[in-house]
Amino acid sequence: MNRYFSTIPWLLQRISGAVLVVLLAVHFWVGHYADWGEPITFAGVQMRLQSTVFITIDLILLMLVVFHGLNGVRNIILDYPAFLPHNRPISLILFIIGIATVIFGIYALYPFITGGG
Amino acid sequence: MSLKDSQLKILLRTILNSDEPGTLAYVFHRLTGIILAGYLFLHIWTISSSTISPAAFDMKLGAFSRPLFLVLDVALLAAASFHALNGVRIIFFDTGIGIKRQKLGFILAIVLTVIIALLAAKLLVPVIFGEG
Repeated sequence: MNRYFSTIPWLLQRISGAVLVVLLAVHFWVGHYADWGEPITFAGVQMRLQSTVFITIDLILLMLVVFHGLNGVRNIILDYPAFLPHNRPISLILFIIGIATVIFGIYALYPFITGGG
Repeated sequence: MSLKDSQLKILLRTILNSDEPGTLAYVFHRLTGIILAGYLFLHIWTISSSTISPAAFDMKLGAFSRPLFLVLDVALLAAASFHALNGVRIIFFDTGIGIKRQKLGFILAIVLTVIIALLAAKLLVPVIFGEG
């Protein structure tokens, strides 16, 4: 344990991880396996995203997975003592990447909700 | 014996012989984590073809029903399964449950991952060897 250790990211990593186990099981089944081998189509995804439940699940999934992934990357970087003094700028850069990725993800989902074209 | 076989044997022996397979679990967790994080960005990038046009999305996603990508999809599921199961193992230890059963937890995570991967890989049989 070192003085850079903080409890809140550690706890959020566990909580997001636990939720992701459930949500990703659903996501893998619906998105990758239910229609195994069939091409994924815009119309198909659009139909699924007519449901507010799926939009909500996808948005929660996006935010949790981006947080969990980038916080994981942060943990790996800060495992190297050389990077520890640069904790602040590293965390800030990863935070900005995370926000940008979530915004980009919502931008990518938006055409399915509005109908595209 | 091929190099791959002997490496696999060394790996299996390391898992079964070590009293605390924590290092291996740590390495696997980290490797699968990096793979999954990398995939996440590719995944969002692919989906974003939706912003060009529905046709562009269909063309891009259509490529992913090719056998190569279906094989990669099963590999992805295996990586995600191990990461999830070992993650549950970590959460249990953090809450003080099963700390004396670390090896059992790791073997359980590996066995369940293999079962999930094999069930998914069964779907590949008709894809690779032609529809029967």
